[in-house]
Amino acid sequence: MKAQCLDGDRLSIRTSLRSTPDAVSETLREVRVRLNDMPPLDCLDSTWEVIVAEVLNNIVEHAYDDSHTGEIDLTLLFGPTTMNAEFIDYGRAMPNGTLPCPRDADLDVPRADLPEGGFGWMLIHTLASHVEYRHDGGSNRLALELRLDTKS
Amino acid sequence: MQLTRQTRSGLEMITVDADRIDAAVAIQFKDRMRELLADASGRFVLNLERVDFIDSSGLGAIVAAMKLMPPGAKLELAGLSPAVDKVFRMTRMDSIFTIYPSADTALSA
Repeated sequence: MKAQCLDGDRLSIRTSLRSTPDAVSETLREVRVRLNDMPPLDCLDSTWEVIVAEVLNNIVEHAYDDSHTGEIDLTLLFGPTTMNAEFIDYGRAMPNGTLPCPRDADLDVPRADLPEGGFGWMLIHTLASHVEYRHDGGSNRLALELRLDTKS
Repeated sequence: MQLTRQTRSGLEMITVDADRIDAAVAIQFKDRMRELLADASGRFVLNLERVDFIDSSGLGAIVAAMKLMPPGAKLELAGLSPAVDKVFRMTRMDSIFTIYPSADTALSA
């Protein structure tokens, strides 16, 4: 992981990780350590981590079909008010070449029918101020922007 | 993933001794909950005070555990950190669980 402080108030992080749930976990822990070393970014709430986790998990599970052999290139740029993230993978494209558009799950159902999944894209779309996706030759590129909040 | 079950003040409390419930541990969490809830009856409280991060896989695993409860038994939640609470609220899953601010308030409820 390469972390670089830019202009005193922005942090750029670049890393590559294997497409495994453990690597996703470790990467997020490491990003947290880097943020903790750079006030005021140490005071960010966890929304950046939720959205980055959801996109990475989606790549692990769907673009690479849980094969655990893929590579993901991750770039995060934390500024004073926004985070920009870019995810590049070399796996399968999104169905129809576009981002899934989730519907709100129906929670007014018997306990046995409550949804156990499908929350990921809902969280991504709710949290991000902008998301774009492109499948280009052999790679998928997803970029998003998130407004940052501090811990309350 | 370490989960401990204790009987406290007449209710069963399962404490998650981990800082994350994410995709890396979701299956393990679900399996362990299945073992701990095998003979469930009455009120169970899942104590999340030590958990400071959850993703949608972790959330799904908690919902799956709740669905394992036999009729008449109930899984409640306690001690959600702001980060965990936010994920429950954004997915509206806060509406299907009884949630206590802390393990202590769950015990006295």
